[in-house]
Amino acid sequence: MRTLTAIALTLLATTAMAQHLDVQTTVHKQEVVVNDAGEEEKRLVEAEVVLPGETVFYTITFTNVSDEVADRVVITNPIAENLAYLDGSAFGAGMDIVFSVDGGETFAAAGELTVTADGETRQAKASDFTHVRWVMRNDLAAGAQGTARFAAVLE
Amino acid sequence: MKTSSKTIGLSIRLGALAAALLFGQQAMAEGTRAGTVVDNTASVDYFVGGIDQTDIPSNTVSFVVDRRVNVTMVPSTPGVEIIAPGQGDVFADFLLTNLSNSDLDIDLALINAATGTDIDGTNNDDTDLGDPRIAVWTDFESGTPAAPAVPGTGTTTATIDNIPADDAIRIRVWGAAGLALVNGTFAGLQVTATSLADDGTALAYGVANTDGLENVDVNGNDGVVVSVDGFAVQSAELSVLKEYSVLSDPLGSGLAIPEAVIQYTVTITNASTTTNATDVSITDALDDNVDFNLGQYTAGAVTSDILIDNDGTQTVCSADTAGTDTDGCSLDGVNLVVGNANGPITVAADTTLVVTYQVTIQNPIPTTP
Repeated sequence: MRTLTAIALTLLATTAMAQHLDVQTTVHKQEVVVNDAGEEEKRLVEAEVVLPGETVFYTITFTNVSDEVADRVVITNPIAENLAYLDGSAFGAGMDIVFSVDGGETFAAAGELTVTADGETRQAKASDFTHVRWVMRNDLAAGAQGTARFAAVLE
Repeated sequence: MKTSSKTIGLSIRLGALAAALLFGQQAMAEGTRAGTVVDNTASVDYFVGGIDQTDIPSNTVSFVVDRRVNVTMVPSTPGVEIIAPGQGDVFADFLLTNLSNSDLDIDLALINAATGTDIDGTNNDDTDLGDPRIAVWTDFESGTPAAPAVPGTGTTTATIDNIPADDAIRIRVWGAAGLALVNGTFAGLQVTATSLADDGTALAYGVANTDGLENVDVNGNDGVVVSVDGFAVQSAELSVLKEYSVLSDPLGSGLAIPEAVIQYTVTITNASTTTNATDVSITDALDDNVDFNLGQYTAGAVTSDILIDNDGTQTVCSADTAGTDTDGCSLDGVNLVVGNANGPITVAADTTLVVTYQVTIQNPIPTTP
């Protein structure tokens, strides 16, 4: 009886600690090549050679690997120190996108953010953003997958 | 409250940025430094069954900022430097700027530009300077640079050690202008600058390095930049013509007979359209059978022995034996000198100098048998 109780507690603990979601991030850069027809063609390639001024593209893929529905799913991505968010680049199907200019403490739509510098308040620019956040409007069903993307310029 | 919070947060961020600009402006100006690792990690917050779950971080993806090699080198002053034949140690400066996102070492090599090389966008190289030499200024432009000493003969290479990103340095090149250089010719000195890593090792291009730090020359020259500065040889082109006329003679014959008064005219023309002839000196060894006539000419209120017309401006000077005054003229009994160290004469480009003086032919008939 004591043994059974111990097993039951172990199972409960395992269930509580199990991750429902798997989250993967990739980074690419854009390359322009000329195809056989002589036309310029853009394609994403591994970000192996990245120089200042170039744009990198991040993709966050999240999958509900559990049997339960996940709701109120929010993906947050801090923008690295040497990167500047590329205006209008964030995308996520069925998601609202908000940004932070204060290190992730608060978030709002891009047009609602302001910054104060030298005593003057102005509307925030894309380069002011410190974080980008995607808020799913709907639940993420068991086995379902979502994708969030954004791009940034290496300063 | 939300706005206030954002403002404080951003102020902190801007404060950090301002500090970074103050203390690291040079590196920032040309972008993120080569070798910087940029990491990215997303996280997901979610609920299950109404219960907030622990945030799940993604994997971390990283890339290394690669080395953007961008070095420029141009002559410090546009156009050609004017030099004269025989002028030693003529020089020109180049300005080399490191626009890369890393510090670099630079190897420099100097040669005479090949014949036909465009030296200033207008003229082509068609002659060489002797003994080309090269040296680097004593400090970067961000410091307190001073011109380098003239290097020894045969110094055709130099190295710039650790030029910081967004800094610049001057390079001086010298050459010797031989006396045989021809007026109107052009000489170019060509500097080749090769970028190296800041530890002096060569940079490889177009290959994936094991440390993930690739090298890309934005100009497509694999870290090599070449620049030429030019020299134009310009000298005065003098010609001399000596003529005489008979002003009077005892018989009224107009011939150069004993006791005839002769006026000599020496005309010096500078045909160069660009270069003045300075320190011009005319020497005429008078014939033993003539006597120099003093006090024959007046310019302004002064009467003296020799008339000088320099491009329309007339002066007179004295044929004094000592020649120590400042009029530039002397006569030691035989040699008449016009233009000496005490009174140098300049014949400007495209002008004429005319010197006039008189002598009397001696009468060779002995006065006593």
